Order: sequence, then C-alpha cells, then structure tokens
Amino acid sequence: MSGFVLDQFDRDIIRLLQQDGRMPFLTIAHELGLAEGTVRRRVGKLMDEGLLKIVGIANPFKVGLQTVAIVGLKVDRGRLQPIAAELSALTEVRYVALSTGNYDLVIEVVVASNDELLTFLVDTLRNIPGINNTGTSVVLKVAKEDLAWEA
Amino acid sequence: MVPLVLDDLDKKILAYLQQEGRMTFVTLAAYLGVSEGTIRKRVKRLEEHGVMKTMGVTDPLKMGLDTVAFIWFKVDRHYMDAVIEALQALESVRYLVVTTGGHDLVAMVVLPNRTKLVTLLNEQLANIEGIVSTETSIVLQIHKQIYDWAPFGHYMEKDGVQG
Repeated sequence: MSGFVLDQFDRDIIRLLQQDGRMPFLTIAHELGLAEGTVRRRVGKLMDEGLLKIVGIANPFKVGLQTVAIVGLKVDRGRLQPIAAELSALTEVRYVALSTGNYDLVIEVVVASNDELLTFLVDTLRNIPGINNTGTSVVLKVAKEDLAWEA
Repeated sequence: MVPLVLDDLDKKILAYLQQEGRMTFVTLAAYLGVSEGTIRKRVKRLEEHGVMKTMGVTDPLKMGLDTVAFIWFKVDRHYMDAVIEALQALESVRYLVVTTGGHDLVAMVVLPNRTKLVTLLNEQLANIEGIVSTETSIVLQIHKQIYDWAPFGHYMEKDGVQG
C-alpha cells in the first residue's frame, strides 16, 4: 500500500457500501453531502488502492457447497511464505492467514462434500512439502458472519 | 421459505456479480441475452432467499484495525447455546462457527489494537460462563481473502465474456 490515508468521507462511503454494495452513488452523495462525481472518484480510488472490493457474496451452504472447514497448519519455518502462496492458489481455499500461536497458518476451505474435504486433507495438502501437522475443525453451523467492520 | 434451486441463469448472474458487485443490470442483461427486468427479478430473488448479498469488503489490517485473531473454544456442552449467544453479541466477534474436532467453536475477532484483545480475553470472555478454554492465534498477515467461492466461474467462460 502506498501510504494512502483514509479520511472521514472515505470511511463513511465504505460504511454505506458495506451495508449495500449496490447503493447508488447519488444516494451516498446525498447522505454525506458530497457531489455524485466525488463519491464515484473516491470509490474508484479506494478500489484502485486495494482497500475496498464490492462483490456479490454467496452463502456457500445455499449454492451447493456443503462443507466448510477451518484448518490450522504447522509448517517448516523456512517454507512459510511458499506454502502460504501455494495454498492461496487453490480455488477451494478462500482464506489464508499467517498467525502466531498453535498454528503458523490458518485457512478456510469451502468444498461440496465431506468426501472432497477428505481429498483436500489427504491428497492436496500431502503434496505440499513442509506441512507438518494440521488441525481441522469442520463447520457445523455459522452462528455469526458480519464482514462490515468499521475502522 | 422453500430453498431456492438455482438454475443456469442464477449461476451466471452470481458468477458475474461475485467478480463485480456493481455491474449494472443493463450490462448483465446484455451479456446474458435476457431483459433487464429479468435480471432485476432474479437478483432480488437471490437476495430474498439469502443466497447472495452485495457488499463492500475491506482488509481490516489495511483499514486501521490492527488486530485480527482466531480464537478456538472448548465449551461445556450444558452452556453451549448461552455461550454462542454471548459471543454473537460481542461486536469484535465478526465470524463465529460451531465446529467438530478438537474445539467446539471458532471465532474470528477484529479489534483496533492488541490492548483491546487483552481486554476481550481477560475480561469479556472470562465473564462468559461455560467457556472451558481458549487458544488464540493472532493473524500477522492476510494472504488471501476471497468471497467468490461458489464454483461458477465456468458459467462466465462459457459465454466467452471476461468478468
């Protein structure tokens, strides 16, 4: 990131788009007392800077993806970044974070079935050298999901 | 509500909106060879059934929220519902799942700084009856965070149009 600093208008725009990603720029402009063009420009800038993405988010359980698991991995220290990159390249992995604590990496895997999860754990992960240990928590129910965090 | 069975048109619409959430319905209609009204109706139906919602998403670590952590919980079964309810109510808990395996619950928390994490662990969580133990992994770097996990990408390629 190129040291881009968010001001209050940026934060307000993000907050509104977190509520409704398709909110018309004109509505946002009225809400915040800005010109429509200003809102459009700021949103463009935020997206160019990689600070904001506006996407349709599907509920995995309602689009045929029945198995979600959070997997913690212990890996060879020297292979941490390459393993993170290899995991990030996998389509069934939707989240990869480097972490402290019991695990070096925490990932979230979204697949169609328990069979596919088994294949992922047994075959896919085995083929990535340097992964020493995994702890898998299969998600039975999502009790809360609120991505609209405010800064 | 009866679960919605997605047909090819629904999946195509999802595939495009997952890539570009603000694509206009006119553009989408032109890509898919249907009317704008049809797209509008389909999107509304997808939203009403909770299949999809369109929203702005950010990387919290780039937004000045410096502390993201995963917390693994072991919970006394007798208190499971009450613990879930108490955790849902905490603003810093952004994602909470009930799981099998070595732990019963996993939460992702997002906080402005490490001090607030200490407060969460030592005060807020300590006051919730039924939590037996926790393990905390502080996220140092988010390598990947995507939201287009439904495998619908091929619906776009089939039309020969880039998303």
